[in-house]
Amino acid sequence: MRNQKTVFWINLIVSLALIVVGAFLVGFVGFNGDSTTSDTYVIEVRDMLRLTDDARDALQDYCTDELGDSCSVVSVKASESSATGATVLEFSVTADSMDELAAIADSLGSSIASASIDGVDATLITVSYHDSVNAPYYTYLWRTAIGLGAGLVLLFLYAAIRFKLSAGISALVAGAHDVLLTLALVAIFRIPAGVGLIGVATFSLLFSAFLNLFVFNKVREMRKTEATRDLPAGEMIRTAVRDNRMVILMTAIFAALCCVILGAVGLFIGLDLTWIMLAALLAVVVSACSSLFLSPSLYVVLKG
Amino acid sequence: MGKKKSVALIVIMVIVLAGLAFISVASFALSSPNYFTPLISHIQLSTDLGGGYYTVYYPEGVISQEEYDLLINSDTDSDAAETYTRHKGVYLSDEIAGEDGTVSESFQAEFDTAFRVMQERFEGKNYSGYSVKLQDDYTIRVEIPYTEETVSTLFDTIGSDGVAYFADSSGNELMELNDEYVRSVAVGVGTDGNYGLIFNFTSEGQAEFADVTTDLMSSVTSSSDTTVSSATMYLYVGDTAILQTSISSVLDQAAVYVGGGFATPEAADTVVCLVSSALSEDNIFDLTLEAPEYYEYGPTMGANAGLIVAIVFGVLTLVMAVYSIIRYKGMGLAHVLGFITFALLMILCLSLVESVVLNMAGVLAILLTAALVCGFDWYAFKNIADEFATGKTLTASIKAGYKKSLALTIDVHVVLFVAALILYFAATGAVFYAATILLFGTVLSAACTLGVTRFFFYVLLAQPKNKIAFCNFKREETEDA
Repeated sequence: MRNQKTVFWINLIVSLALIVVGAFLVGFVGFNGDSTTSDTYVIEVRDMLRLTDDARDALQDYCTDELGDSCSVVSVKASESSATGATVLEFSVTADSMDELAAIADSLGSSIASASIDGVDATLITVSYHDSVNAPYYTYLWRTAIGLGAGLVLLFLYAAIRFKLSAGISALVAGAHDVLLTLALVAIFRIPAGVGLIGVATFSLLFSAFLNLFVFNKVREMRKTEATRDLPAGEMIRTAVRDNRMVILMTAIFAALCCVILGAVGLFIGLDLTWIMLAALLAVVVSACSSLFLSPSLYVVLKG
Repeated sequence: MGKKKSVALIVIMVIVLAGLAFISVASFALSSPNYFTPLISHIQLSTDLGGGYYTVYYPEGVISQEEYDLLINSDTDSDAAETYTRHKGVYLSDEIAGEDGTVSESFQAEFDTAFRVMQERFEGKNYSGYSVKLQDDYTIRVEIPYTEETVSTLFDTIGSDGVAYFADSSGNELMELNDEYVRSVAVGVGTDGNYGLIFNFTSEGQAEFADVTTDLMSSVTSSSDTTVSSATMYLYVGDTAILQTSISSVLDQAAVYVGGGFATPEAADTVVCLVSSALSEDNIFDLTLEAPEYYEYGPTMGANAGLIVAIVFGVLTLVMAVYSIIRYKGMGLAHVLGFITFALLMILCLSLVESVVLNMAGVLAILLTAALVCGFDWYAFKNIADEFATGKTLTASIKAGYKKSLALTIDVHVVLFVAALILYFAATGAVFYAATILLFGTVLSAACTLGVTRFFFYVLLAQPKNKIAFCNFKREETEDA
């Protein structure tokens, strides 16, 4: 019992500290945006005609190498004009100022003009530069946040009615804890995040509800059984956790495995995939830990 | 269940699953030149998994570097160098920017309004994955997923400036559309099967619209041409005629359907977003936005991201199947068959339900529902094992194990379903689509966990001689069932 309470307080203090640090980071510098949401400097290389795939790849490789000498290339986006079929390559790059970006673009333009790239006519190439500032999402985020809040309240009501009030409060705290801690860790580790992060937060809440209810269901069963009805709350919850540990762990492991594999694939096809899977992996780990440690210990504290 | 009946059922179920799997992933030739495309290729993907289109809106007086280069190199407009001032990656005309590059306050104010309104309009479109960005301070870059609408029309329509109003065939304003007259605008379907707009008028708007239609009908009756029985009315936003419709009677009602002849609801929805936004005076801007070209781009999560996600899920299913069969033997096999049924039905729903768009949040929703199927099947198996360990017969253990799992299975599915329902109604954008997937994913998970896996288990259990070993249990005495 005492052990459970200590676990709860340590857990809560560490989580709260992380959440506060994360909240400060979000408040002052925001989340670290991924390639779709961050403000970026872009160097645009455009061929007036449609390039073959090989020629486009050759041009992309050449530009990446050239740009690599003067700045770092964060991502590359290839697109095609609807009207003319013109091939457009957009390189998101790091630069200290617009002047530096202009100089890099000029240098790249001159370099392409004097280069011989297979399948590319240098006279048809133009190099321009832009800065791009992402607009915030207004009602989109607010409405989803309200939906998540309503989901949390629903979880509390359902758990409180079906599994008694203390279980409802534990599930509510665990759900809020999991969402906030996941977001805080994403902010603290500066994991690049885009719109998908709100999907990760939703996943975190629902996965947490799923795992937590396993434990509280066992407690309910034990409360109904003659032999275990009078066990102290600490003993009861320990048994419930022990009994469901395997199912919770295996489910979490398979979910985590999915995140790890997709994240590893992202290293080769696009880093945004890696980042969102890393955030989802954090959500899985936080939810599994909270269902095995935080909410059981909170339940014991609430039961006195 | 008898062995023969069990074999027949297993064969039928395997054929059904194989058939579903075949149409889900295989492509084959039908009568030339038609091809059957697999269901999986019909799944609509968001920008993160499937790519989409983008365009850049240039306000009047702002041109791109390419356009500036063309002007400089052309013979007709050799004074472009004096007319335009460079600002970051674009050029500003002397009408909006001074020689020192200072932009006029009126232009800045109009552009700020235009930028804000464009964000709201695209947000109103409820795309799964879109972005509105400020590029070089004075252009607006918009990215959207693939859509069934004509993309150039979409970009042109939604960028319209000015007030919305009904006009006659000469373009004369008949009635301004503002929040004093119009409560809301929605998409409606006409008797011809095409889509149009439903205007919900306030009482003042209703009276005004009745006057407009009365005037239009009196012009028809006073016309010398007796063959004409209806008048044409136009919906304008600024100088652009957005749609035209026929008025054949006086309309004095609170809600009026104005047919636009739109072939898709998405096209009508674009006009709804535009008109809804133009109802508020704060959203009116006087700045022509031009989107000269639009571009097609690949998935933001990387090339073939959608396909790779599907392959990873396939590989994980295989790993999970091996684990289940090794750990639970026959019960695990039943779970694998139940899970495959779930996966195939999921593909069926994703490809056939038109309103579903798959994005990364949706992938996480699928992961969650897949975890539900695995978690609850394994939970039921654990309960069966626990019951068996108390000394019950296998049949009694299965019955008791499933009974014990029932309450929690229903509880969790109900909680997740209602949470998904709340998100479906509350959220927009990426989470809205994820909630849609979660809604039918939860239903499928419940059906597969409570029904399909259990059914497969019973059917498979009829086959082995040693049923206890089949379930990976151990007991000395023989099973009576």
